[in-house]
Amino acid sequence: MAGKIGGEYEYGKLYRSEDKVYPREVKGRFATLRHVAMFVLLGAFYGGPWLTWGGRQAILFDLPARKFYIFGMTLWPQDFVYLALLLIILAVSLFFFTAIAGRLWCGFACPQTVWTEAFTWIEAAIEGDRSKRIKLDKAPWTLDKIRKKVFKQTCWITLALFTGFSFVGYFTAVRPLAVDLVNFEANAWSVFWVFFYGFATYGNAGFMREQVCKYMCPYARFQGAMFDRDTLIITYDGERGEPRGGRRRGSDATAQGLGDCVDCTMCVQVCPTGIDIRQGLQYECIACAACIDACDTIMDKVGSPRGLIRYSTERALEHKSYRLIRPRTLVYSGILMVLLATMVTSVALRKPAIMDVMRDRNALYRDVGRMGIENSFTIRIINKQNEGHTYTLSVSGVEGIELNAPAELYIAGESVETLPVSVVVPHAHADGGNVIRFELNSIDGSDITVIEESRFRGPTENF
Amino acid sequence: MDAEWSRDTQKFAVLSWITFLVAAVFTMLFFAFIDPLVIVDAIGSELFESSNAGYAIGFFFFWANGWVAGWFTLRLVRRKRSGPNAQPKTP
Repeated sequence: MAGKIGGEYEYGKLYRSEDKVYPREVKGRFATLRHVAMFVLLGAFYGGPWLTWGGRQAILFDLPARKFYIFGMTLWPQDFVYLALLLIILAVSLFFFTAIAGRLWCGFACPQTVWTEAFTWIEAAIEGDRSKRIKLDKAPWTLDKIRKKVFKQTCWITLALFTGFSFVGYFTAVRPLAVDLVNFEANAWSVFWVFFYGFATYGNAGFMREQVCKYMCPYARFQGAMFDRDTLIITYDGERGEPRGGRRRGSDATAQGLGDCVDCTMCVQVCPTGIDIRQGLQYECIACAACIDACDTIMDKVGSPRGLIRYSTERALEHKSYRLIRPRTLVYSGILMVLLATMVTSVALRKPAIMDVMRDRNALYRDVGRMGIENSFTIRIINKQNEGHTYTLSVSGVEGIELNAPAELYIAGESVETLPVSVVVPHAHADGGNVIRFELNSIDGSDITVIEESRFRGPTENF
Repeated sequence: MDAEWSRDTQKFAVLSWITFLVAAVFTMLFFAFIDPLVIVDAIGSELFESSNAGYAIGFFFFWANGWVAGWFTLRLVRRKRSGPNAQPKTP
């Protein structure tokens, strides 16, 4: 019976031709967990753009204005380092969790899994369970089949386009976007991205599904490198299960020389990637634990203890003790801690204002007669906070240095001000190059200080 | 959809997906430092006059670039054949 699952082997062919995978529905602890994860994650994704914070969309990556709003925080392109740091932290966390718990990400949290779950749920709701779907696909095109297929595709395309819309909603204010889309007045590029992302969702979750994990996903190919013998994997306990075989209800399996596996093939039928977990760990396995649920149900029915297929580790299967603290987990968690600490401190110490000092490129210096030597600078001040501030600008570093700039500067919230200034130093002290310090101080009690260094150039004696 | 993809389908899918992901990362990196309006101004066509258009051009440029480079690499890297159709080694 086991040989009939999947496809038939044709003599002389290099590959066994496999049929389309029709995953069977499964109920159990992990299926429930997966559904909860799906609702939470999809809910967060679809609901995210609609949250507001302080009268503004809570999470908005305003690309045209080049400002990122994340709840109370506004990030500028200059804050890019945080985004880079965040991505690195996410990558290292993935390494860490993979080393500890295997492909937990794949089975429960990966967008590919979550949307595939949603798409297959729609499919099952319309076309029925696994056997009905197989029958329907084999059946000739009747009116009922057309009706079911059209209805399924309509639901899929609607969900895909709504996903595309929600995605664009993170980059363009979602409320006006919704109104514009309904009135056919939306920006052509927004519409394009809605369709583009919708198409990608449909292709990945409705059409390609497990193929994305098997052939296209880079993580699936690399994750083996983060595994060791203490990593949590989904295992079939061959020692207990073999030799597998069918038996009559109530008969003594031990007397017949059989293990606990009744060879019902449920674990294969529920597998979204169409593998047989009893052949051992395979790279196609996304650790969704559907086979655990299926096997537990059968074990309950035949009256054997659960856990013939279970989460375990290679060492545990060899009856060795489990080690949580091992070089790999120590290294990964160490790197993670350092990165997290860096992130937290740098965000906490983030300057509320940025000052860029740019030297005038046209002339190194200018002799302004009795007054001394003059250098010109362009000062750019970015106020990253939401409220405006009044500042004073001063300069120091050389004796007798003087700054020609407005006494007070008001810079509105979230705006950039550029002003040309000149610095004059008496002839006596203007030799060669000196380091000077520009200091920006807020004078409205907000206690902001920004210091930037630059160079003051004067005539060189030996020139 | 067949569960087992042909080698060409695999190549096409892997190439498109990996270059897509890489292009997304590079678009982010690139536009963190460069205002998309610079690109839009350089093209100077009325069709592409918003900064959104600049981002889109950037992304598809990176994607196409990766795709073309990857496609040529796949074509030009020789694999030693194995199996019944293996060619005899040429000195």
